Amino acid sequence: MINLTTSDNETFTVDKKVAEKSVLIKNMLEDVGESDQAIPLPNVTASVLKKVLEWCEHHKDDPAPPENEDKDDTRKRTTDISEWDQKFIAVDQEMLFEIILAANYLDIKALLDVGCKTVANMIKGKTPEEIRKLFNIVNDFTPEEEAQIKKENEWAEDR
Amino acid sequence: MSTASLSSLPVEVLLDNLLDFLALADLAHLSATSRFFHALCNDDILWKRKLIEDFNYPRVLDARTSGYKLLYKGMKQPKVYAWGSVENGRLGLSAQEINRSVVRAFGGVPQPVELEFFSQKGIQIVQLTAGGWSFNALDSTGTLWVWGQLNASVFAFNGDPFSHPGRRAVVPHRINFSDSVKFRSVASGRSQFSALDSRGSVWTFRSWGRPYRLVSPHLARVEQIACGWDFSAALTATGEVYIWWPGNGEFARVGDEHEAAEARPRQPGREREGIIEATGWEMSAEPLELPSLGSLEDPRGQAATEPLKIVQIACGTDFVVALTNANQVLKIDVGEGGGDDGFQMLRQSFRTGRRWVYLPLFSEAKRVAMLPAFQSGKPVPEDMRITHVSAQFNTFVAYSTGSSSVVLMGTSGHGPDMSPSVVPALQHRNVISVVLGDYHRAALTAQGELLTWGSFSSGALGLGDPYKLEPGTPGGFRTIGERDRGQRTRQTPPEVEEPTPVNFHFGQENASPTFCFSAAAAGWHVGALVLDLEEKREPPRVTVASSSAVEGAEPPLEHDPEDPTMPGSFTRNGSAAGTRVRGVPPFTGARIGQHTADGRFEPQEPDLTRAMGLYGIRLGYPARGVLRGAHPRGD
Repeated sequence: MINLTTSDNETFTVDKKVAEKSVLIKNMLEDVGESDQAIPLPNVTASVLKKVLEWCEHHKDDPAPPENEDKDDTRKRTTDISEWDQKFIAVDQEMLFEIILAANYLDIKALLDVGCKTVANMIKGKTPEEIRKLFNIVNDFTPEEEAQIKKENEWAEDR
Repeated sequence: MSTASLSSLPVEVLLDNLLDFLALADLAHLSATSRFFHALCNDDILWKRKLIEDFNYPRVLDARTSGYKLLYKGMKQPKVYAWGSVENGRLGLSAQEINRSVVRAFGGVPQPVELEFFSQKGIQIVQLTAGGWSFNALDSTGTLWVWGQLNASVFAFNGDPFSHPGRRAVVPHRINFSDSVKFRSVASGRSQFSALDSRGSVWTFRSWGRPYRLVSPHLARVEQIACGWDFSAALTATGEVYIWWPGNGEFARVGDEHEAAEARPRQPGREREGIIEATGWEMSAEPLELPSLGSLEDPRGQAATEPLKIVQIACGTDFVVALTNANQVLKIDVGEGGGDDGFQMLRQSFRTGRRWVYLPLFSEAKRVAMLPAFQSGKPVPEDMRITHVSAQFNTFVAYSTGSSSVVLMGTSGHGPDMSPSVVPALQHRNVISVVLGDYHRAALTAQGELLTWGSFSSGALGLGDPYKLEPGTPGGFRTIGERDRGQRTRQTPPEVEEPTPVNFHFGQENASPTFCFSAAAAGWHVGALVLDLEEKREPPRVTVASSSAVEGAEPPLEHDPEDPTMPGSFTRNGSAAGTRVRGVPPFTGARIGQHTADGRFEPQEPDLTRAMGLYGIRLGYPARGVLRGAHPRGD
């Protein structure tokens, strides 16, 4: 079993197999060897780590992503998300981005993808104004710039 | 900790993960939300990746670090042009194409002619390479296209199968593989070429019909392939370099035995339809590993996060040049390898001390800046880094990128202390590729301009019909008298010393501006991949806030896009206003961009991206491209 300590000083005890979904933790364990010492995760809070570990637990038996496979397949980007993952990631926006940040920090590629696909699906089909509203983005263009960018983007619309 | 939001995600996460999942229209909408997202969605790294994913664009092609979005937009229909000698059917032009639109002079075509074959069939050629008498090309679906004669030192009848190295393809032929092999890049030598497929396997073609796959455990993770005159080379992800001579030594012996053992089908199969049915086989001979970097000093010191290794290679006649992840240029001679016992001789020389020679005068900004050519002329920026190398025949070229880029040329004889040769016209011009024929050269700029110089070479300069060109024009005769005399006595015009832009729509009115994105040359021929920029491009109206504190930022841009006198704007016939010279057909080469205050030419797209630093986001934008270019990610 592995002990993980969060930024708000909570300690989680998990299976090595679950913890090793994180490449960061896996590398740490390989470097320092197993010990009773808790691994500090200063960039993750307890509430987020709890969520992340829930995902790792569910996916602990997934095969590791193959390395150096035919790049063809990985190249075809799909935003499909499995049903379980969809339910898992149905959280408020702040938690969604916290999960993405944590997955990036902990180096859990598959979880990072789930998070990013979710955001991509939220953006899909929306107008710039709708995207701004959804994510609280401040429009700092001048009207002229906005008009120019609209023109500049025309080519992308019909593809 | 502040509240997590979309804008608070690290740029790396947004660029490398999120944006990949967005469709083009969604990407466009996101880019229209704010300056930050606009800059992000115009990132060159993103668009290069999209080119690779969507169009099979080669990962290692040239020194380009910008303009990928423009390339992406135009990649729906790139055009293939060729010019120079028509011998061996090497231009791939049908008799009609040659006769209809082109003047023939001295056995060649003196100006670019489009191979309409490709645009008519909607085939998108993304990489073009030139062999000694041929072209070997790759399309966006991973299929190979070839034309000319792979090996003109052997004779073949037209009825011979394509397993014969001398069999000609006078128009472009598709190489068909029975199992679905998709190729990612090609490299051409003089009479052989190699290709890397999507599974990372390396294929070598001594004939178009009978390629072999190298089955070496050492070649499990090949990142790049390259071809010298007679040999091929592969670079692995871990930085090892392997070389082999398809036509010599053990590889030739195993290859010839294989050929002899197989009954050659005499029937041409589908050749009449322009399809070469390739029968691949597996080559079991082991390529030769070049020495490791040994005690080469790592200039990065403690800051380095990964070990010093070779990240790019290029091959000349009898040498290999390499670029390390610390931007060092190295060279090693391998000339003896072509002999019958070449591998033994090279192995022996590696054991007795032959190693990669570090070339400081091609690598270190301070040493490069001290070269006489840069002392008196355009200076070398302190942070100059070589990010790309190429080689052909006896010449190799090292490139840095950007508007103050340098192009350093060396020859096979160069020792560690020899100085590069510097062509002044190629400096500070964003040259991303230099290709060489026997007596002609061509340089491509990131702005889409192709420059040629050297000798006439059956028209390989592509500057136009010397009998029609205004006397005094590059590529033409000096005077009317010389021109008339030349025409009577069938003499060629004098050599062109100054690199001169090639016009892809020679003499055509109302032609759209063009953007050349790749060029290949060998022997007496040149080929180019060209985009038509159909829409009239408007200069941006965006005014970037005062930015004198930011290095590399553009001066404020504000002018009327309708003003035809503005440099870089396009008149109806597509020529860049203000660049027209009387007596010369309108130059329609790429002028996508504008002249900056000091007269430099700056690409126009992406408009706001270069000002990215102004928006206060967390990436050293100029540095990103440079570093990524030199250090392919992976692992």
